[in-house]
Amino acid sequence: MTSPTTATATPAVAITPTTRQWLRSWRFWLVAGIAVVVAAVGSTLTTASVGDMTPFGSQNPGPTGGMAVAEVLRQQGVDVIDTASFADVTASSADPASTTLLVDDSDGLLDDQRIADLGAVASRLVLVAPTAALLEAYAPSVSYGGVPDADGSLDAACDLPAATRAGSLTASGSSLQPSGSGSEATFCFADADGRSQLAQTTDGEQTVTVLAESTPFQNEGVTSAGNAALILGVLGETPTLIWYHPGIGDLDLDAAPTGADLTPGWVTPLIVLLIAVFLAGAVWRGRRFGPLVVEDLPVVVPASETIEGRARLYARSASRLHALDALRIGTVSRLATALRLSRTATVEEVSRAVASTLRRPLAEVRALLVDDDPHHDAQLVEYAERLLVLERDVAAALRVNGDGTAR
Amino acid sequence: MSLSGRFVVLVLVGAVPVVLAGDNAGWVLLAWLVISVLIAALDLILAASPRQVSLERSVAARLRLGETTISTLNVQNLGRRRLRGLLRDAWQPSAGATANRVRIDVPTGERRRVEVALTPFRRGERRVEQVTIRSFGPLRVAARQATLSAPGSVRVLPPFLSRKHLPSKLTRLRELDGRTSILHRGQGTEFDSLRDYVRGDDVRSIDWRATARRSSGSGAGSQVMVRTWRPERDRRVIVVIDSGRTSAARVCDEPRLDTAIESSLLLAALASRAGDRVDLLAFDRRQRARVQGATGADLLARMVDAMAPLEPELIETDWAAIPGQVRTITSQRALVVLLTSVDSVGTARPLLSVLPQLTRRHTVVVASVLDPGVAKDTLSRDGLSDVYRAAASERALLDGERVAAAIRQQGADIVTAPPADLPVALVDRYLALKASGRL
Repeated sequence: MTSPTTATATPAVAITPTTRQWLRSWRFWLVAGIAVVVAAVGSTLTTASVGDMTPFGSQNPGPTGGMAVAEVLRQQGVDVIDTASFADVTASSADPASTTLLVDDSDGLLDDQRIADLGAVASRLVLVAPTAALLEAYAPSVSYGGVPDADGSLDAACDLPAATRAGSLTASGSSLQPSGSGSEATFCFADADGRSQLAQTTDGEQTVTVLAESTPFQNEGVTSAGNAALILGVLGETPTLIWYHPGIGDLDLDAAPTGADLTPGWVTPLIVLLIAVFLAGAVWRGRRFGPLVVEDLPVVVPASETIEGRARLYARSASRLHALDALRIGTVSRLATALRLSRTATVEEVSRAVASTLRRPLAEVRALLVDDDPHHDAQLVEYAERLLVLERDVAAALRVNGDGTAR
Repeated sequence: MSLSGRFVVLVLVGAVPVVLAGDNAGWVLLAWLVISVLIAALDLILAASPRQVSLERSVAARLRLGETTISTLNVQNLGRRRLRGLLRDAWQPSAGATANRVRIDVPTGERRRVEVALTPFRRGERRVEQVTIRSFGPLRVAARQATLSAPGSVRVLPPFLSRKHLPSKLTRLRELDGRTSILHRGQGTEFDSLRDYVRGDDVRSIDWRATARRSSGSGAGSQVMVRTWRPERDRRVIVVIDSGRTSAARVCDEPRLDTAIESSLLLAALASRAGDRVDLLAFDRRQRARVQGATGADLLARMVDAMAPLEPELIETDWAAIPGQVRTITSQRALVVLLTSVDSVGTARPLLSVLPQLTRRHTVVVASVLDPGVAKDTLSRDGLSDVYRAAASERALLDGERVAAAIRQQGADIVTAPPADLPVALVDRYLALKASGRL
């Protein structure tokens, strides 16, 4: 089994490339792959830094953003505080009297408690497209009024200073109207039916301005009609403006214990571990033990295939007479051999010999061997069977005769 | 690189500390994974290089189909570490290497022999190109793997199962030869010798003239002389195997080509003993195998060697080229055996068209495999589809008979038999021809 080393032994030629060779041959694709990943990550990061896509967000420079309004206010000396969290809102309101709070809760994230707390933050509240809960809390006398009947701009037609300064306003897709008859609110920019774009109520110290929609004040349309004048007038009355767009962080998630709270701390790590086990198992079982071996396969052609094909061809075209004739030829030649007739014996001779051997009428034998034409499949099967029976009968008759000759 | 089941178990065992850790489970998990990977990496570093290996292969050059041979591979470790792991000798599947994954343990600088038993189940050249070695580290957690080139091949010869018929046929040949202990007149047409009459000899073979000469010359008594005869010797037999598309068809799960090979081997074995010269040609559109001028024991060895890699080619045989090929072998009168198939008039037409050229010069025997299933099918009538099948089979038999009649008409002889019987039937026809002196 063991023998001493021979000095001349050289290592066998390796077919598997070494790691270095592999890296070299796959260099292009590795570099290309890394470049694609880097480019993807880079572009994601850069777009994310631009990407405040909130409608009417004060940081959003896009057509639907509100950055134009916020920037103009800043240039006018207003301290615009942009926030998406309720905690920031309460923290940044030092003096409610000199603060305006813009609430744009288009996603409906605020709960009742927070809505109630908002009132203490600022003396001036501006509700942009408010939810029903917000309206109920701060402007109960205002409700939504449907699509205004106007296709251009609407005139102020009220005595609010900001509205009269603006003069007109582009009509948006929704409107406000008084809820009930005894509404104390002031409505501006109404259409012929009284569906207005702006409402203002005053409750003691607190002034609440409701804007039907933010569309006229977004970057795209703020310069039309008196939109800019109106929004700057509404938002710029105090030195501080809190631009509050409630975010995901304001959702109250701690209310009830979730599934994560109820499971022990080791469940997730265990699942991760099992995934690692699965991956290791996949590598263990999936690693191929060397390349596959190539071999030419032999051709497998059953010789009876042509016969099968021909049989199916007969069956499909229902060539019953054709099939029966083939069977008859076989039977006649076998009968001729059995009856010791010559190979060239005609069907007539064979029929006669069979008829005399079996003592049956010649016409009957002849009909079976030559004349009858099967009209349907059952008849074909019956004739085929009878041919076989005939052969058997002849063989039996010859055995009984003993000498093997026909009489 | 590859991992072993131990690595999987190692990672799985981490479940215990992870569960016990409670709130710190995440960190324990991370630590465990890092430790596992480090262990695997360490094992990988400590594993012997599967490339620092010298391979030396030795395997029998030839074996008959159905026999078993041992392929040995000497594995020498040229690296600095002990090589422990698995070795796969990557023979082709049809080489029949069932246990080709062997555990190896080769200390530094030493050599070990790996033996793999081969029982090929296909005729022809069976090859091996590569050996894959998976070298585990001391912990058997991870392994390095490399595929090394170690080419080898073994030629699998036709089984020649019909050689079991050879003794009886040789006995029959000796009877023809007049050399048997049974004293009857040797058949054949060539005058062999004169000898004394022994009781039991055929009186028709008494040579009266020789008897007269002998009794008058020596006067030693009234010894009657008889002539003995023997079949002609030194005739030529040319076996032509059709390796075209029809030879691929399987009858009784044996390709027609394999039956043809069996038949030609039995015929060659017998004819060479009978003193005839046998040449072999396998042809479709070009020559696939040829054995010419071999005699004695060399003949069979060369024939099986030449026919071992023969495969049916999926092209139509060029029969028009066959007379020319036969002429390049001999211009003498010879027995030309065409091993082909006679199915239908359509496919046999090219053969029929060149037969006259061959029969003018040579004695021609066409041997063809008969499907025994066809004759059986003609008698089954168990329903419509069976009846149609029987009709088609009957038609096929009729076609075969027509081709056979046409071949006889061209002056050639035809032998048809099921695959198992064809070699014997062909040899019987040869003996009959020899006995009647038609060679």
